[in-house]
Amino acid sequence: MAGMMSTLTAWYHTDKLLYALVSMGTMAVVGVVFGLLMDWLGRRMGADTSSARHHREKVSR
Amino acid sequence: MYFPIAETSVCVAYLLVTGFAGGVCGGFWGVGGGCIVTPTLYALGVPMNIAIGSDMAHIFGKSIISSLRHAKYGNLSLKIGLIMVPGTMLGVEMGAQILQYLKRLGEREVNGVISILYIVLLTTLALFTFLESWRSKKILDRENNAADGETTSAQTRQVEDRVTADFAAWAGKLRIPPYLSCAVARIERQSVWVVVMASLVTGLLAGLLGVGGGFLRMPMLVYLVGCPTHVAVGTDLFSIAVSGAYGTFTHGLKGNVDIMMAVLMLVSAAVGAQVGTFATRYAHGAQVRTLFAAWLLTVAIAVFAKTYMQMPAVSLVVMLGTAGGMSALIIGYLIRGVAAARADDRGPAENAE
Repeated sequence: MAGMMSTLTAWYHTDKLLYALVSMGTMAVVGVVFGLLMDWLGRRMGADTSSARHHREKVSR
Repeated sequence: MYFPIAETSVCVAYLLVTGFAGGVCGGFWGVGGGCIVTPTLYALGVPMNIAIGSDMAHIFGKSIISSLRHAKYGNLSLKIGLIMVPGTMLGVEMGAQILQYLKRLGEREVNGVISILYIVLLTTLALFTFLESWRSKKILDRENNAADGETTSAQTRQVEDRVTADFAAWAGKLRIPPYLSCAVARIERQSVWVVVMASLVTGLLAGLLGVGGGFLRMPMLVYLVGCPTHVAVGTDLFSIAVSGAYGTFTHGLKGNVDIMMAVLMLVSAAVGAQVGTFATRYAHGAQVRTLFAAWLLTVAIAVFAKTYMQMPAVSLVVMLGTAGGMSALIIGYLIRGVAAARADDRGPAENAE
């Protein structure tokens, strides 16, 4: 963790283009990974995350 | 924890709570949450430029999660989202240029013009949304009584579509080709220029006010373009993801992003965004818009308190209190909805026995 932080800080001070690209890439990857992880967790907890059916819509069938 | 890029120490728990509240509200309303996160980071001692850049970076990551979720739910119109991208970019640049012009006139002029614009815009939008949601509810109640029972979700949607379509109808009279049709947004024929105009205006105001613009784009998509509320939320989040990617890159180049801070907020925002997005299943469009209007009104009050009453602490408390209260209310919707759905599922099974 400390090593990663010092590498990022070094890039921040020496190569802004690399730092900007890494920032964008990290956010995209963390966003997608956590999205999928939360989906998986939701399913494990028994929530139906597969569709947007409103619960009343479901009942009215 | 010490953040070497921001050169400041911030309690990690504060970052996690802020990210979570921003995530819940963002997922529920289709806004980035810049109005909540940036002032909080600033209040925690983070320099303003780092607060804006890190907020933008975490909004980008968060809106990817929410866009994926809404796309899966069928709430995302990729066509409208992509048409909005160039208009938004151009509008943001125009807004930034107007801001530069105001800055040259003096700091007092900037603060005065921006604050007045903020208060007028938020109050007008809030009152308009309140009135329209109240009208939807009234029609729904009347039809509910006539049907002598509970209306289904499909009927509720029809009423809401009819009310918002009234507002979008005059925009539909614009007969300038090319035209757009979109099955997801249930739009049969609309001039592409209406979508471009909506994105340009919201982008301009976003650039001028220094915010992501989600709180402006979502109602514009509903009332001007004619999208159903849930599709407007999903499409708006997609636009935020695209502009957030650009914002993260450009703020990163300018050294305004503290990546560790952004990742920490994103982790809790990921949980919050899922909760907020999932809660939309248990709330109708009019409910989503009424809460949204209430939130806009409190932000207007907070800006007024800070600018004209010289009460920055009160302003911050109002903003954070509203964000916390709204998050709790949205989680309440979700818990109540899940419990009702489970009870409904159990009912037929027990009757069958």
